[in-house]
Amino acid sequence: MKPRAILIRLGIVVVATTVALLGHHFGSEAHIRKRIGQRPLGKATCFTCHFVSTDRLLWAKPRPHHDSPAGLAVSPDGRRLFIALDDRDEVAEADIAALKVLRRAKVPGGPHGLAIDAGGKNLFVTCRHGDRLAVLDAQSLKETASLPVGTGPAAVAFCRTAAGERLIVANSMSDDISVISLAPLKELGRPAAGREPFAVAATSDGARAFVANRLVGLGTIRTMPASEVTVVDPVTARVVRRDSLESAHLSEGIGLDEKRCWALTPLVKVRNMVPITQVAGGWVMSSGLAISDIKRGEVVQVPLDEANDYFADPSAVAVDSAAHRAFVASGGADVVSVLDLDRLAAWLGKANPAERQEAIYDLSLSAEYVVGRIPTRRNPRHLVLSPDGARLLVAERLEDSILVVDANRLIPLGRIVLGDGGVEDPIRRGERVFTTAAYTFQHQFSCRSCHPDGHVDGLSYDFDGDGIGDNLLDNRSLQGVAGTGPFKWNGKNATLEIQCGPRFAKVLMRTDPFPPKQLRDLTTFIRSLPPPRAARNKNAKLTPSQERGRAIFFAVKTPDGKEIPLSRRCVTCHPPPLYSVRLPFNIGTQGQHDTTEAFDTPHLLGVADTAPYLHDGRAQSLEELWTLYNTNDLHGVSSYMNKIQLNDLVEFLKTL
Amino acid sequence: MTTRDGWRINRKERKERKDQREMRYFFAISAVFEVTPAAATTLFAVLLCGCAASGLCGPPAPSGPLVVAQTPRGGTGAGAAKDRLDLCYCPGSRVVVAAAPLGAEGTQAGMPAPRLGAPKVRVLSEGLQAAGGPVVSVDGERVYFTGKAGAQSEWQVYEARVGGGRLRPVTSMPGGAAAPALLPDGSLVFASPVPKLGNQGAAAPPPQLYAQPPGAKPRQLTFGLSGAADPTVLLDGRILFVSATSPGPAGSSQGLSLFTINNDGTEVTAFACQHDPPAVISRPRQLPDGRVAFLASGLESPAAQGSAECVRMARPFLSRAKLLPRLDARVRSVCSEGGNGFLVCAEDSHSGWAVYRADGSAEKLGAPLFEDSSWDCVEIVVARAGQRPMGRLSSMDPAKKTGQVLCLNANDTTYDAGQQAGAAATRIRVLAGVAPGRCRALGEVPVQEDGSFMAEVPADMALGFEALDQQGRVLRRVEPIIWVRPGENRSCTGCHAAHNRAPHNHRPLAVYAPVPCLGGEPEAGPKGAIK
Repeated sequence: MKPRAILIRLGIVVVATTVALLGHHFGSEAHIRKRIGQRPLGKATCFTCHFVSTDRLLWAKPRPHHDSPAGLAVSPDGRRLFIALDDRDEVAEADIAALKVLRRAKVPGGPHGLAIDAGGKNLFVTCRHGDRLAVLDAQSLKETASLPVGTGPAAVAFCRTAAGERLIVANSMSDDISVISLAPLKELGRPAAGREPFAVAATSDGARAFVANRLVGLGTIRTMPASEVTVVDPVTARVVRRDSLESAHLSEGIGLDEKRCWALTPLVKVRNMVPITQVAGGWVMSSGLAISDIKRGEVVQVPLDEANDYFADPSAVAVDSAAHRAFVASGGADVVSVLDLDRLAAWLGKANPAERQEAIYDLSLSAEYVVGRIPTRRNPRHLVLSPDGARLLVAERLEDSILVVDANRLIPLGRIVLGDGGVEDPIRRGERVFTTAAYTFQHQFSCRSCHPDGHVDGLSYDFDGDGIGDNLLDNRSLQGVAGTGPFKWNGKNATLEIQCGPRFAKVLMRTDPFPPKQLRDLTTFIRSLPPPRAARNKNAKLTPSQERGRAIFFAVKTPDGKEIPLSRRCVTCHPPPLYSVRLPFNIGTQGQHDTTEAFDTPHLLGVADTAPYLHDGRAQSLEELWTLYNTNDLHGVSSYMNKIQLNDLVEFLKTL
Repeated sequence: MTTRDGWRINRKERKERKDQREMRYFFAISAVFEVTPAAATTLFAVLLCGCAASGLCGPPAPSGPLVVAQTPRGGTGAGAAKDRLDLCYCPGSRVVVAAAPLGAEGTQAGMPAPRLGAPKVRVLSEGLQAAGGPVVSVDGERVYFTGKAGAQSEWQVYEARVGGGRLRPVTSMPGGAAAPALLPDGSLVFASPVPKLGNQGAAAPPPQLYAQPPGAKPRQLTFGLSGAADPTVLLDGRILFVSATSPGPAGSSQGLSLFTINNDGTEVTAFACQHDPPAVISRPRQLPDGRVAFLASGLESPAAQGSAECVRMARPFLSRAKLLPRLDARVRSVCSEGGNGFLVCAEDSHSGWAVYRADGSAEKLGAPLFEDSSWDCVEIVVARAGQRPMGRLSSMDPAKKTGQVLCLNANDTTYDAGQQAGAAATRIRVLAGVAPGRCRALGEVPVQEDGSFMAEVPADMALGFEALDQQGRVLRRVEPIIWVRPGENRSCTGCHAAHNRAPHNHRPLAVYAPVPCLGGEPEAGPKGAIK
């Protein structure tokens, strides 16, 4: 073939490709504008609505599993350590003195929380993904019994009461507490907890059990958020008190000092209502410890941070009443803080009520009672003391190891190695970036501080990049976010790399951006986060109510036969499988100080777990989306719905 | 970092230093005795055992070459001094680098030092009339110091390589530049101009801090009427510097204290010493153990030749203490040696000003680590790679001419002057500092019911605030010591609020009201706009 002919054909190909691409883009825009009535503000192509599949998304693919330690329990003789390996579906037994793993046993369902009975015969395991409690023989590690509990059981505590032995299980996803008798093994009751109960401790006489809740309760966006410590009577299985932790959340541990009548709960003191004009001075959040009076319920919050250095994500606490010490693991700081409880009590004793009230705001105060900081490897998330208080065992979750510390001399004695740390796995590396506060100014917080498990913290924030105003932005879940770009509520960040890049560093971290490699790992980890569990139960059969709701969701006509405009049908903007068209639209929710009327269309995978809703978090429930904030029918035609129809729709949405 | 990492750093550094020391001795043995490595190992082990048995193994050498500022012994230059640096670094002063062995090394504290004569050094400031104030880059390879080419020249900042190379000036500031410090991106921070001696009146501008990226023009960072001096970069990326707490009447005595800013001059914040008795404070330096060391002396002292003091990063306002509480000697420079030890330039009646090792328990100076019979060693820094401070993306918008201030509660105060302390303010008068002791009112803004207020104010201008009651009486006053950078949103918890306090979690009512613009056209754009 002559060169000229080659050039001509090449030119034709180039021109045709250019025309196709332009048509692909502009044609898609015109197509969407014609069908929906709104010009898409984001970049639209044919693939925006068509040929969308979740199968190719990272979270839908198999991923490596790691020996990440979760809950810990020590045998009564202090020799053996039991370790829950939720990512492996295993429970391991280790020799503390020899620093060796003795054996492992398969426990399906994501074993997460552990407790052992007083005699050391039975090991109780909460299976967070299996929604059950497994009972293992502590000698053979064989499963001897299993009991269904609430959804997402995260922690369990054993206690002896006058009415018999009890187990208290914190069900993190169903927001309730299973109170279980051991003889016979049955659930006595399931009282409501706060939001995401995540840790539990019981008094030695079994009179009370204390449950720490991870998220704040739902309220309006202009009210002070608060989480709670739910106090349960293990005998009656009833809630006897709810101790409010004002402006505090992410409590993932709880410990008791019965001599002082203290329940100690690590917390993140959040300041989401203050415009984020800075992060210095604990302006966004700081770490603290709530001291609840076991009998009276009075709560004092004290800081764990220092004036110029922070210890992010305090997630577990162990109390040694005999040694007058408490240990708090800070997962974002890779540190275990050592508190002298005598000094803490002395300060509280001389402080007046006003000083106690203000204690959490004084970033210099921790020097009064924090007597040491023990460095750990990556992400200490759980810790436990041996019964004699001689050994402190720290689960270094993202290092796949257990740090053994001489609790008296505060000297590390060695590590029980569970795995290789998974540094070859980009998802694991990304999780390390996600959970560390090392990239934030003065180590104040990590990504996880606002996105526990990559999910929501249920709060709205006011960033100052848009001026100091009352424009709050709801914190969105990262679970199932892969493939749902663009990101940010105004849809201006096309990719996760942009979302987590320099802008994030400028607005939140107040440091240099993540280095490129770490950013790549971080976004890989985020893409690997699957949607909340309900979204993965594709084969679950719908109830009649859910079926009716499904019909409403996909309806093209109202029950009286009127056609619903295409632009106001649920499925137009929320088409499966992602249930998002991934473009910003106007649904009539523009606030007084919003300069845009169009907001990004969120995906609906696991939407039931992501309250509050709308761009500023004004809707506290799915019902409120239509009962309070859709009076103009712009967010779907809902004005025809009666209470039952609305309930059906919500029930269907809960299955997504 | 400090409290947290102190243990880890200590162990790591101890091991590294031990390894370096052993390797140095090992190679020395190989070279001197011309034996095989295996034989050298054996010989080394034997010598090590022998040394240990005889107690001859003394303190280790520093972890890198020493960079020392020296002044000629007996020289003052006070007669011809035109500015403060002339007093500190008289003609002939120089910056030298000295590598181990340093002569007296190995001598136990308290024992007489063997006089070895003038140690071998290399002059980094060759060709300059005077030089001093060295700092070392994070990689430990370059030294920056203040130098003066001739008697009539201005002080400028120079760069030299520790390993040798051409000396080059890196600033050319009118009025001179001094006190270099280095940001993690390589930008040089310095103070300019160099304050002149004598009564210059209000016309003499106080020194301010500038940042100069490599190959770019310097940009001013500080705008307070009191000026700024002696910057150093903290590991969290902030610049710590010395300034007067508030500009008192002209000619009056006023103490100095420590402040911080970000690398773009935003978020000026009191750091420590604001409420202490008046004193001259200089050369703040962050130590690896979680403290900030500085030199403090009485107001009458012509130069910083006082005692070494420190505050803890964990609670800087409540922890001021002597760094070397038992040591009765004048100190002009403190440098961390890693772990709990320091290198200090101190004065001994026998040795004059020399470099010593010291720690918190030292009761008297031991043998000098480094001394020269012809020179006073007045400043010391170890040339070694250090921890890189955090960087920071600027939040400024250079296109703007204003910034915004948000106070969460003007009535949250520790102000204790007069009976009106604690009275509720109804308006805030914003002041612009014109000159020390003089300011003009930019305007007034209302205080909301919850005590909050907001104002859009001119950028890069010293700002003060007066809290007024309903009758217009001044309840509380903040002198013009802060500023906002263009596009900066600056917040505070209160007027004279307690330091190191985190804010309460509440929505300030001021964010719901229109923002008054004082002294210029509003530029902040629509409030609450999503951008």
